[in-house]
Amino acid sequence: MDFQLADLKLIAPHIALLGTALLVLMVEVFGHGRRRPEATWISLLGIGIAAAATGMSCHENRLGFSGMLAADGYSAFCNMIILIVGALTILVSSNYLKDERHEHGEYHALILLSMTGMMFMASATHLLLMFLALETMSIAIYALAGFFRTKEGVESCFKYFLLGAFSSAFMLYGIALIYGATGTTQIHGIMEQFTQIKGLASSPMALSGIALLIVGFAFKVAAFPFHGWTPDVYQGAPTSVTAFMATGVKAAAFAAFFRIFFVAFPATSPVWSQALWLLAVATMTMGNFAALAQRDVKRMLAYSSIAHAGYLLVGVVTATAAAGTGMLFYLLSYAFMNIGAFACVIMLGRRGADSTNLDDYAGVGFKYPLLAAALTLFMFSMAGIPPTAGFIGKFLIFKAAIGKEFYWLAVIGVLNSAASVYFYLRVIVYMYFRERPEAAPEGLRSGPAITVATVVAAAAVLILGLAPGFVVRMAEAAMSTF
Amino acid sequence: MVTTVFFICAALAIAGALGVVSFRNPVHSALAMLGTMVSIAVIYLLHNAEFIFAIQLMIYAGGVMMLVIFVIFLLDLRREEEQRAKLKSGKVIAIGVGGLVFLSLLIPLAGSITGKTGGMTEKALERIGSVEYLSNELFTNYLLPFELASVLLLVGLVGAVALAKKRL
Amino acid sequence: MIPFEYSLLLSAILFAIGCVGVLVRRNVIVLLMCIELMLNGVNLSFVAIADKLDSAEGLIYVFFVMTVAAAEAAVGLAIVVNLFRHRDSVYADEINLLKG
Repeated sequence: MDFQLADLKLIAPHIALLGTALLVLMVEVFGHGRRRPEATWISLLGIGIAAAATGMSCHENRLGFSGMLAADGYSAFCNMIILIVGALTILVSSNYLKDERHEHGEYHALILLSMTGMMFMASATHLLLMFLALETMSIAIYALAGFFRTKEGVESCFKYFLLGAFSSAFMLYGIALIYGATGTTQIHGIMEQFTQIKGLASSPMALSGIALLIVGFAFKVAAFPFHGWTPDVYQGAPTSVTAFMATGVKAAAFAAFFRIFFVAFPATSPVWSQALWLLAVATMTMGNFAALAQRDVKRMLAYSSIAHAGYLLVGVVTATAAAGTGMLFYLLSYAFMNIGAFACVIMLGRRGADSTNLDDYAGVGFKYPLLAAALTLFMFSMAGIPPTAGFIGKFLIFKAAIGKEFYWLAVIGVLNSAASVYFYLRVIVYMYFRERPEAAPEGLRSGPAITVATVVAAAAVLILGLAPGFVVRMAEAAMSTF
Repeated sequence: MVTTVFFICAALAIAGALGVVSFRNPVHSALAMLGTMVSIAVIYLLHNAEFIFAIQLMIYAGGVMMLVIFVIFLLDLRREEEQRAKLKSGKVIAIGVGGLVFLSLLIPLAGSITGKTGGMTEKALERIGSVEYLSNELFTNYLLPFELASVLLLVGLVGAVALAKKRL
Repeated sequence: MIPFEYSLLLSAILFAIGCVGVLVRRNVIVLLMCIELMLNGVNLSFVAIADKLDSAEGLIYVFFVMTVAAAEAAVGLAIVVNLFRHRDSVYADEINLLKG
């Protein structure tokens, strides 16, 4: 099949982001010598253009580039999540970078390039493109994790890099075996091979390939027992990058995970859904129980992100259209609540000292009532308390699990959310019911951009919680395009 | 004849790999790695992959490994002796994990290969060479991954500069 | 014509040795080489399968894996240089890799 110009329309959002990244780099090179706030505005403008392009290409609903990628509603929804994550991250970073004296355009360029990778990941229908997109995303994030070049930052960066490359090798081996078993790595082609060749669903080569693919994805989404890197990396990386990693990587990886397993491997689903069942239960239980013991808010959020990966895995285990709807909604609401929470963490820190210990939050509630109210809202949402977005997301995912008769999974999920309330509420208790120490430093690391991001995130968490109908219908429409 | 060459190369590749893991001096590890790469390149040739043979030698052995050796000398790591690992148990666990990985990678060999065959048959290659065949595929069906690979290299470039340059 | 099982076996051996290396070694440069070793193992199985199936896709994978390995090596070595500036050593002892 030859290249068609019309196919370019399918990757218009990706091209827009890539172009913006190049523009930011150029501005950095030629505008040397002065502090530049332009990078923020150019990036936001580029994200806006990419969002418009996504809106225009979402009705195409076809495969392009010889079956490499799909521009369907599902990709469009995931693209939107990724663009929202990127825009919020850039807003949150603006003051933070200035305060830490690291206001370089490379930061924005790397964020945009990694978003390009994420968007390709979400729309890839070929394992080769998915793998390359995954690497584009990951390599950019390795560099971002070490961007501040502090000792902890560089060490966490190396740890993330090494384990990331290690897991990529496993994933690649899995792809090789699937290629050997089916002769193709286009996901619709794999599905056809599974229906055509008798006994392929129980062939050792295909099953080992799927297992290795699961290992690779489990590393990327930080699922048990491959979560070991998460707390150190989340703690050591710049807080804004942590927010980006926790939400963006998760969105892209789950988007690709779900698409591949939903489209390519339904024939073997009895086997892998059992493996993922165990993985989901172990991940959320381990994440929540480890979070109980944390006194560092950033580390607590890292373990909570492991637990959230567990809830999202429930969606992949269930692998129905309803579960996909729940997963998409959950990813969107997780983006808002998590970046919002990290924005509050950034505002409470100061240059060189993140002050993320729980004691640093004592008495914040009366000193900074608005910030405390926002953080309370985000914590409620992560715990899954109504009327917040987190509650609706969990409700949709667990309802889908029950719909496919995964009763135990849903029960364990609900019990886990109940247990998680303790450590989310503890932050709120510290903010409102502890005396603020006399020596507590004054002032917030605040600014217009980060305030806008926090307000938008808080509003979105409330709106998605109170009136989720519109977005749920959009997610359902996105799932119906498979 | 071909099988003999294969076994010699396989033995060299495994010996090199063991060398990478066990040599104390990183320069020796790097040289062992080079040996492994060249042996694997010869095996590629035995599998009728001339193009891959060439780029294995040029990019991997010639490019990536040279970069590694360059950094070893830049940071002057030769002089550092690897300290003995404190915990023997850690090594035992690691070798156990490695053995487990190896055994699980043997599972696929239990069945036969079932994939559908492609169009790169000897008949097709008689008409055009294998490099032409590959480039045809690369610039038509695999055009998008090819372009994304350029983005990937750009990310590698920007990332390396952002991390290693003295002052941004 | 080499039976492809031989090459798959060799690729599994190389992959496992690389895997043990990542877990055993402390020198970060050697860790990078062990990752390359694993990728080489995977490449070998791609080539063997492509040969067996008369398909070009496996060879194209190898091409892209080399690109990825090059980019990873560049960023990885940049991180190593940075690490070296901070600690004057390249041992991953303090960077406890498997502890959560």
